[in-house]
Amino acid sequence: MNNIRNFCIIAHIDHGKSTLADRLLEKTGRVSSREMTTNQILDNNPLEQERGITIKLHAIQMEYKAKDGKDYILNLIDTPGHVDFSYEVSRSLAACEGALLIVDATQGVEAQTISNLYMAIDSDLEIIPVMNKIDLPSAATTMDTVKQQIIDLIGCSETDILSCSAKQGIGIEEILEEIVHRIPPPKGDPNAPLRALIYDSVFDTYRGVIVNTRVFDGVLKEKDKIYFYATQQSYEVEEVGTMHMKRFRTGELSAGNVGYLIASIRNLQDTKVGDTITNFNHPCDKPIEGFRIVKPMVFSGIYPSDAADFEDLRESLAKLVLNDSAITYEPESSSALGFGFRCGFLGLLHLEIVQERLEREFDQNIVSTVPNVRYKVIKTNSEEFFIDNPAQLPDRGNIAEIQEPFIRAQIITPDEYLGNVMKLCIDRRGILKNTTYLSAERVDVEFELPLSEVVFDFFDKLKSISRGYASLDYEFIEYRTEDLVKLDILLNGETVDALSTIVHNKKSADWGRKLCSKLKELIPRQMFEVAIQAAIGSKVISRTNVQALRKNVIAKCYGGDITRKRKLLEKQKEGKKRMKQIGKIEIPQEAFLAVLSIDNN
Amino acid sequence: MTAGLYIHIPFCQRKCFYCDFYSIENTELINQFVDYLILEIQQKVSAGKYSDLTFDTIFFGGGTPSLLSGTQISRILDPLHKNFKILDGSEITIECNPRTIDKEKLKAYQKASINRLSIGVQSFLDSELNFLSRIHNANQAKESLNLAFESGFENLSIDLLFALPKQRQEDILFSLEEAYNFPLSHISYYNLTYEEETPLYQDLENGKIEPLSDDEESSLYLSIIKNLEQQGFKQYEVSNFSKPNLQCKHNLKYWTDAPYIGFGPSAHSYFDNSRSKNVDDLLIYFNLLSKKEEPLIFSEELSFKDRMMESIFLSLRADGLVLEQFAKEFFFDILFELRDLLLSLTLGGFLSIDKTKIKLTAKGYSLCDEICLRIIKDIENKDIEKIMRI
Ligand SMILES: Nc1nc2c(ncn2[C@@H]2O[C@H](COP(=O)(O)OP(=O)(O)OP(=O)(O)O)[C@@H](O)[C@H]2O)c(=O)[nH]1
Ligand code: SF4
Ligand SMILES: [Mg+2]
Repeated sequence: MNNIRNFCIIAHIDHGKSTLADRLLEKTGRVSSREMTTNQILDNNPLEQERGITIKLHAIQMEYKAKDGKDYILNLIDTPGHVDFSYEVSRSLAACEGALLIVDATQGVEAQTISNLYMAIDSDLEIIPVMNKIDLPSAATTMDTVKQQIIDLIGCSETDILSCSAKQGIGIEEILEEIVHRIPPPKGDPNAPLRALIYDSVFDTYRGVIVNTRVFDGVLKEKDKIYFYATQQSYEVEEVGTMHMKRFRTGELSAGNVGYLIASIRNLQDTKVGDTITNFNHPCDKPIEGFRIVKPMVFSGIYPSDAADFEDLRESLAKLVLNDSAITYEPESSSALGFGFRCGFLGLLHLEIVQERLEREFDQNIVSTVPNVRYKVIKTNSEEFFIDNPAQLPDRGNIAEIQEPFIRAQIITPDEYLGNVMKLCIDRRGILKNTTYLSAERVDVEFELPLSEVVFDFFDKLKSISRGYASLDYEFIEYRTEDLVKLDILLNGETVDALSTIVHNKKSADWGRKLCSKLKELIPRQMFEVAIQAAIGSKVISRTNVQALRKNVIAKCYGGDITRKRKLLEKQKEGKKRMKQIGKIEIPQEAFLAVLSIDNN
Repeated sequence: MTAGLYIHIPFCQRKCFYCDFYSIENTELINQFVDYLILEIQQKVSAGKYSDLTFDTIFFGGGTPSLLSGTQISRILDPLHKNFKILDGSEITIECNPRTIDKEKLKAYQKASINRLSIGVQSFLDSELNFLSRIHNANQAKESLNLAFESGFENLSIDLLFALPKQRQEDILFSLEEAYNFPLSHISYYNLTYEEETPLYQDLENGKIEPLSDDEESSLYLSIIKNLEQQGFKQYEVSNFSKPNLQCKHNLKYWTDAPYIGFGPSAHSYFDNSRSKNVDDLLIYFNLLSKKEEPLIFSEELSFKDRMMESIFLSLRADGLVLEQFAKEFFFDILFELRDLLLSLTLGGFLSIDKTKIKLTAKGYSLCDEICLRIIKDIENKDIEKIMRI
């Protein structure tokens, strides 16, 4: 056990975690430089490569002969930087004794640097700060400030901070040495009952679920009968091993080690990240702390563009959930969009990824509605329930209270943009909690905000008012009662359920007006005039209309060139097919996301 | 169904800057062109494909067919008459540019059995003719009309253009009033379109001209329809109007599913469920013919869906969709299946329905494509199986 080192790489988005991980793999000979043909070895799915971000964590074992002459086993976990996946990161941290905290030498400490650091401290990890991207020319001027930020943040000394360029492979060996010397070997009792943590799982079509686990006590062996605490299921272990570039079967994993297990588990849902595995016959006395069921935070209706594809979409979602257990989906119907699903996501990035995968991997043509949060409704008869879809809100008369989720947001910004950030947050109904200067010109601002105000374009706005410098991290705190109302949109007098939103009363008039004029922009002129109204209950608060189209005809159709004319019409027809028809009105799919493109400030 | 013959004459004295029809300015090639045209006629005759067809229209289009002399026209018509079944009293039309005809030429045309003239007037306002870069002015247009009438052509049509930039209601009415001074049987009033690859389009792209808005075009269009109807010109297609029973029989073929055979570069043919087009380049046309190859650039077989779609948009842009005929051919009872849509279109004033056909109103014509698309989309949405059962 003394020669094992378990560590993760954590950082703010894009500071270079995955690039560094690739370099470590290369340096330890886990991959040859010949295999390093693609830029990113670990971010191996097409979406990750295209977006240049990590979506799913990656674990891998390396062997390293240190300068002290001894051989070490290094278990590395590369984590995603995006806030949507922070629970996953926290469980990866729980599987390790140490963490490399990467800080971009030109960007400095950012919101997720801090939140990830705190999580790592919570898990009692040894932290090795690493300043990355020192090859960038601008690093020469920023490096000293960034060093100071790190010192102030962790309370380490300057010599504790390593420097590297993951891209150019500078400083990699030193990092490996420091991992060996500074991160403590795992503790644990191989003779005690089995106690292992599930920190990740993936689905394999042939083998079922493959569980990534860290064994704390005892030994995990093939043929053992094991028991999962949270799901209360038991299985017989079929295969155990460690992760190299591929699975490497070892037959057992003992205390202190990290690896995988296969046990004929059919559903990803049966393996909850954070759950504890123990031996069925000799169970440990208590599970590992920190387990939580991840709940979706953001919801959106997903409908087939063509009603006939409903079953197809259902199948695709079922397949998608096989390898992404964080998605929830339930059938729902909308008078505007027909039959579809209300889907739940960890956050906006997660939502985007799922929509993109549906369209690309599963070839689905979908219409999605504006994302919303989950509201808690308390009726006048004290009945309480949650709704995931604004259209489900009962009549106003029956509602005593509506509660919405609040988050604690941590925003780190250069102080010249502090004013802008404050204004943005206050516009979004934020309550200022704290401001701390990290250095002379960097401020850490803490706000409590309704999550609903963050799911609309908040992040983009934050970036644009700070010229890209401010960064954001957040976590859920609680449900709070607010003065919320449902804003309905009526087209030619009919409510279009898929366009209903829940907004703060104070903002409803302005919101209604903007939504109406946005819809006017998006709905093309058609044969009949379209009256657009925004209403709260039966009270219309804003109205506008799309004038009737007066001309659409190709004048020339002689000389016998009918083919060209038919092709032109076919092209127009394809455009029309992408529209949803509600009564006499044709609505383009973008209209269902109109709210998102409204200028919120 | 009787068929039509079309002959494309790809020459113009000078190319107008809005025009995307195939024509070239090198008129020296005309004689040679006629030789090749005759070659194409012989080629089609010996293929034997059209021996079952009976023809009752011949149309010389262009380009500017009136650049051809009476003799040249006769050289073309002779082999046609000799080899195809062409009924007596067939409608034989030639398109004329006002600057290219005189008394003698018209006499010769008459002798060659041409009985209908379509004169490209475009406008009776010099400013507009100038803008269009036409080779004639308003006076020359009027003179040519007098000449045509005096020469004894009774079936006389003119082409006019609307929706020119800055064009106002008065401009249109002016041209119409001038037109009414002549004993015309037919008027085609086309909406100016901005076709890619024309200098006009370039000007539009470069912001040199500002097109009328759709609403402005639509109001001009509606007032044209109204004005012409008041003068006894009945609309029988989006852009075509005629005195009773004097529709252009040839153009009607395009909209009523009748066969037509085209000769000359860029000419189109429709025959035996297939559409084809000749190459639109004179030299390639020559070349292919001398190699005894068909001078085609494109041909396609129509699928059931294509035919249905065409049937809808062609009949609706013309004299209306005949319900029984449509049901027989496509197994689809449009009146019953699309009753909601048709009702709302009728109430909206776009459509009139009687027992035998559905037909667009003036307001409907200006939304013709929109309406056709709506109908086509609704038909596609209906269960295919259900379509087959009826
Ligand atoms: N110049 C330079 N660029 C680097 C270096 N390390 C990483 N990058 C670049 O920084 C970008 C982000 O790198 P990643 O390794 O994907 O960052 P990450 O932290 O894994 O990102 P997430 O997983 O999305 O949070 C990529 O374009 C890398 O090529 C470095 O040392 N120098
Ligand atoms: S005369 Fe007619 S065919 Fe010739 S260029 Fe002008 S518009 Fe085109
Ligand atoms: Mg990454």
